[in-house]
Amino acid sequence: MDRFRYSNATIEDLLVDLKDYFPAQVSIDNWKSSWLESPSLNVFESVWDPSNVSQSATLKLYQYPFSSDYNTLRWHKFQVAFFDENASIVDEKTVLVSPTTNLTQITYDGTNEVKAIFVNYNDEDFLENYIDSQSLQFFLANIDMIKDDLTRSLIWFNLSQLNKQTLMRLDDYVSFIVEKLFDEPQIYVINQLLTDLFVYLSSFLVE
Amino acid sequence: MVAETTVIFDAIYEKLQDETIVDVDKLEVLYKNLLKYAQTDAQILKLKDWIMGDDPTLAGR
Repeated sequence: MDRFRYSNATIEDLLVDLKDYFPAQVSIDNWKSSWLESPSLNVFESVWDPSNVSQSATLKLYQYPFSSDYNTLRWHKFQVAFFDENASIVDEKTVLVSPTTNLTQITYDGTNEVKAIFVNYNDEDFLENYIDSQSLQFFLANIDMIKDDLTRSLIWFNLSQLNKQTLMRLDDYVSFIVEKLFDEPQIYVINQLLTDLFVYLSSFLVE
Repeated sequence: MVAETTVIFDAIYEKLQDETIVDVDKLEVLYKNLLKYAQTDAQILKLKDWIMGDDPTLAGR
């Protein structure tokens, strides 16, 4: 704080000070060019097998550019949450994703009988998460069982994004909203999802 | 679009009849969205009946 008292700090100053907090394999120059100087964002898709109940089950995480016009892949660091049949988080993993390949594999404990996976748990990264089909079905049926407000809210907003990207059938999404949304304890979630849905309906559908 | 907004309108309208909801912030959010989702003449007339107290389903609310 003393160093920049009564003066301005530049991006370069910030990056120099952040360097100690970066993983050793992440170059500051690469991070700056991909995150600060390249447009658009990245999409993540998960592939896993719920029937694999071994101690070393595999989760494949695919990173893609959101738009083919801007094909930058980036370093990412996020948490993945693993849910059991009671919608309780039975495990969490921190994942570091390299931009040099679009596939990152991690192992998790399948003996927990994982029913759903949520990428970017705790919302520490900036990415678009396309929830896999098994996890999607689980969250649609059980979102109200998730106790943590932040996690549940993130999943609500993620589902709304899937609808926006037309990755969910609209009638399925509307049925889900009617069945589950009005009992959501967080009022801002109710308001935001109803507002977003109205925009989607008004903007994307033709009479 | 009318089909989907109608489903949501009806759901919010029904929820507003739930007398167990006493949280005014939640009622406000539901009510404001009900107005937003009222798209057809029939829905707007239904809102008018409700506001004027002519909707028997909301008696005592």
